[in-house]
Amino acid sequence: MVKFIRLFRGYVRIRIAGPVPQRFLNLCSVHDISLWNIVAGDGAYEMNVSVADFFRLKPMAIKTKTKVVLLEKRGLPFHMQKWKKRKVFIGGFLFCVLGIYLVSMFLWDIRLVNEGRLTQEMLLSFLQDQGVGYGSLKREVDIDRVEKALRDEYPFIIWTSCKMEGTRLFVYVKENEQSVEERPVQNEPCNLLATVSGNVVSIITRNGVPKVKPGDEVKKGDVLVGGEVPVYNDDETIKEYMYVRSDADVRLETELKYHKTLKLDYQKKVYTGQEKAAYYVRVYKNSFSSAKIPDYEQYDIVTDLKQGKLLNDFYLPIYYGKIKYQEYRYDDFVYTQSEGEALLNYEFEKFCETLQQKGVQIVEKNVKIEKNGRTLRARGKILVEMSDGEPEIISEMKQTGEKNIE
Amino acid sequence: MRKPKLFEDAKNHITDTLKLPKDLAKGEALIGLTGREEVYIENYKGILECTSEAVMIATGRCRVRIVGKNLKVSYYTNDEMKVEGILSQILFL
Repeated sequence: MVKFIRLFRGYVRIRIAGPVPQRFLNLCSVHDISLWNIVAGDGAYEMNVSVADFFRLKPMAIKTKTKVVLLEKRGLPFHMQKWKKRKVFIGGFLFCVLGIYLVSMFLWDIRLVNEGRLTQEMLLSFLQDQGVGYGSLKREVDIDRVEKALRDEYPFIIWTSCKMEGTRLFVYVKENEQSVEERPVQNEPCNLLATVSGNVVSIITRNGVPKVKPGDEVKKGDVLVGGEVPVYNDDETIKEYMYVRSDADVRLETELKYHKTLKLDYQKKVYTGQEKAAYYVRVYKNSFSSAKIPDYEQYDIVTDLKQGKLLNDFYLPIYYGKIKYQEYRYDDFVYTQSEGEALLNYEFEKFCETLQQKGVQIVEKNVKIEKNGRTLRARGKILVEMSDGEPEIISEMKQTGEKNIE
Repeated sequence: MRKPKLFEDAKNHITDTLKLPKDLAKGEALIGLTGREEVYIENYKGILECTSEAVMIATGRCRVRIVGKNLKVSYYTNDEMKVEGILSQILFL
């Protein structure tokens, strides 16, 4: 470090010779002039002294009758003299250093480590809303705020950690593997209504007054469980009403209608085999390609890009790689009846799976596929057993001074 | 001119009693060795001789002569100096 500072400030190698050179050395020491690498030889001494101190040697040299000879100049100030003739080179070098310094102040890469339900695209879009994205000033990125906002925005994230390395931002997240459905806590008294028509299979009431019993037929909008609980006097007259938030497990058997049509004529994307490749460079938002965009009517663009970097973590806003334009057109095709039926069956199975994932139990399926001209139609009914009961807040209460209980 | 013995004794006594560092109280030189290749010296008065075979330094109470081969003074400031080379003897004269 000391050597670097000396080189930066500049120093000279001198030779001193005289009747008492030791006295010269001692005087330098007294006057706080640092000397180093003192080597004796041939009745003279050679040593290094800083440029600033060199100009202070004259009085001591006169006093001790010592002759000082300059042997060599070393360090940055002397090189600067040489470099005066190479202004463009020095300018370019300084410009490059300045450029790298400026580029290093921004964020050029965001990576999500352990991608799960939160994907890279979701993260980038979310961070963009938070004002953090490619090209953001690093010092303006508040990592603590980003971590907190991520946890607040996505309830399934239980732990986040952001780390800035060079010009990259790493986002580590840990997701809750068991999704917890959060029910908003509400205390308003309410009834439970049927959202579909059907027959009651079972009813388990935890809070409220059941208005139906297994085997009853209900229509959409009927009250399944009432939140108005009467309190009786000794003579069995109603004293008052208590209003509660109804809570029950009600299973209804109901019919769902299924309808899906498929046109046998369809269009499909077919690649013509015509393609054009080019080299591609993108600097921040400006892109350059080694070839013009081909005059295909319809084409896909396939890019294979790499991000430029210095060392390991210093990512630059430069992307380079190959770009390929692939021409395609839409051709007309016709499904055969068996293909169409297989496709409709597949979609019906998917629909049933979705229902089952929602907790709906399928009792009976009655769906038929029929051909009608150039279309195939899947139509029918599915008998299902499902949980039901939609809360409806009780707005009008019958008595004043009613009590609300949980 | 040497100081009277009585004064010297009193000074030694006070220094020992108060447990003062001797380099401060008596102006003794501090000499540190690193193997046989480096020697650091503090609290000196000046260089009396400097060749590649010997370096003689004046300290408050005596002269120190460092003898060796290829000796050179790595740095020489008002407070501290370092001599490098292959040391063979350190003499107090």
